[in-house]
Amino acid sequence: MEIEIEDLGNASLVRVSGEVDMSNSPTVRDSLMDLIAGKAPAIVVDLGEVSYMDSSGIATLVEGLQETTSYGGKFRIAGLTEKVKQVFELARLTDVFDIYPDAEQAKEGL
Amino acid sequence: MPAASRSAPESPPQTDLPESAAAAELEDLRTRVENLSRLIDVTVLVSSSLNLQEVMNRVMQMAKEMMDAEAASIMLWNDELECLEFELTVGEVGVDTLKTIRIEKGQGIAGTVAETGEPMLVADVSKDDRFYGKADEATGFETKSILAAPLIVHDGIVGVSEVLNHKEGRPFTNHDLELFATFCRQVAVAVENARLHENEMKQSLLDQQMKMAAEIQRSFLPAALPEDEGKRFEVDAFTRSAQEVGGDLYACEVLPDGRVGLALGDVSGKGVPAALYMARVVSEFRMMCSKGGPPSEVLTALNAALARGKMRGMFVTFVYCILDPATGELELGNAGQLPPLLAGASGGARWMGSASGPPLGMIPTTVYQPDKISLEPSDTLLFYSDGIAEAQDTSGEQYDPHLLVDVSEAGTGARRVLSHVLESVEAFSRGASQADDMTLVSISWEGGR
Repeated sequence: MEIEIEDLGNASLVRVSGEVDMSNSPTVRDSLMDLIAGKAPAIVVDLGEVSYMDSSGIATLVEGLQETTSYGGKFRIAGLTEKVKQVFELARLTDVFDIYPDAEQAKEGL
Repeated sequence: MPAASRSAPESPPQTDLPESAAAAELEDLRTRVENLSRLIDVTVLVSSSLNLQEVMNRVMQMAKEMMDAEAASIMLWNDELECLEFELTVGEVGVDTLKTIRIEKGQGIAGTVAETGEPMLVADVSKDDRFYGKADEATGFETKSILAAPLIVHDGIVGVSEVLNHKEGRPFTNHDLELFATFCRQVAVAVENARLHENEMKQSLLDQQMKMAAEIQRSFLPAALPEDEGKRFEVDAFTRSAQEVGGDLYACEVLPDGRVGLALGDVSGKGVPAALYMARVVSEFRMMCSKGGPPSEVLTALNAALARGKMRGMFVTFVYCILDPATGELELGNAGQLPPLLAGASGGARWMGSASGPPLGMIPTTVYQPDKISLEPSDTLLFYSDGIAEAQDTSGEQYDPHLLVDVSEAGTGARRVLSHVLESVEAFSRGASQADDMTLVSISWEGGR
């Protein structure tokens, strides 16, 4: 699993790739919490290269969403791969997150 | 004449030593014997005491006495921070003031010893640039002469010990250094034994606590499942955590009006955090379902309760149904849980009631929609957690593609369906380690009679 963070000026892009599970979701959390501590106005998490995500990874995203909205920030998810998308749809996480087809579209209107 | 027959001297040989020198030699001998006995003492200590603080305290007292020093200290290597830290001092120096001092490899006398692994004598610190005055600054102690030796066990340096200032005001000597280094070889073993023992104790305490936690967690699950005297329904349940404690749960309640409620939940993550969250979910659920409200309303209320307060994004996928044994009416609510399976009386099975909303605990305002079906006699409903669907075989393939077929071939009745699926998933994943908590619950309706 790898994480890259890009400052887009009005938003922060967090690009995650590989498999996200219990062993590395705390690393994703640390990255998100750093941005949240600095009250990032918008966070876009690009999951376009994530092949697998377990419930601890989803919990990390939920926490990111809860924290960001608590100070009026925006939290968007982009580029779900087919397998991750299936999980999101089955668990109705599509009702919870703002999901965009890719990072480009997620950045629009921020 | 052979030399052997030479006659013995008539008087004992004269020694030229003056009395004071003889006394000094005797004194030296006495010191050596004392030192030897101290080395024996420390060897005994190696095998007798296993309390780390006590071991360190006693060996440092011994070091101070044996070397006739004003003070002695022990520093242990901190693997995480990669530095030496003061653990204990004896003499006029209090360790508390030194606790914050961290010494890296190569820094000062102790750091040099940690780097080279060789004992070191500094007869006069004022003439040695390597002396690191931080400790003196912190304590007000004035170091004049130092002996420092590494504490070495087979896999490396575990620390450094020092004695400071000979009581007689003379500098330490090479002879002192040799003795101190020998002493420290024993100290290292004593400290390492005590450290290993302490870690073992901590681990065994942790194991014990986990066993207790597992027992407590089991008490949150139903002690027994309800049996219907009229045999109108049957329920069954199975759960097994991947670790000592887990985040799966199930609950079964006969409501005040005689209907039967059955629920399965799967908390995000595993282990202790999931287990604590699970306990909270079960408590809140039991309180809320006892009023007999429809599943969708119970889920909406449970969600609102769980989403209050920060729980690090944790959530629970949850499915809850209520069966009316008189009519076969079944109400269902599904919060992000995998769709249940319905096995028909005449064979065959189908997915039903996919999630009507996201998992519980994410957003406090979510409202869950009701779902209702009428069961046919001998219909069986099966709920299963992620750990069942995602159970892997030894090649890493997942079980879920087989689930529908296995349920459709299972026959009828809650117990038969559950045991058939359990046998199938266990046969499928034989030889592979269990990665996630596994839970199955089932309920069948045999007709209103």
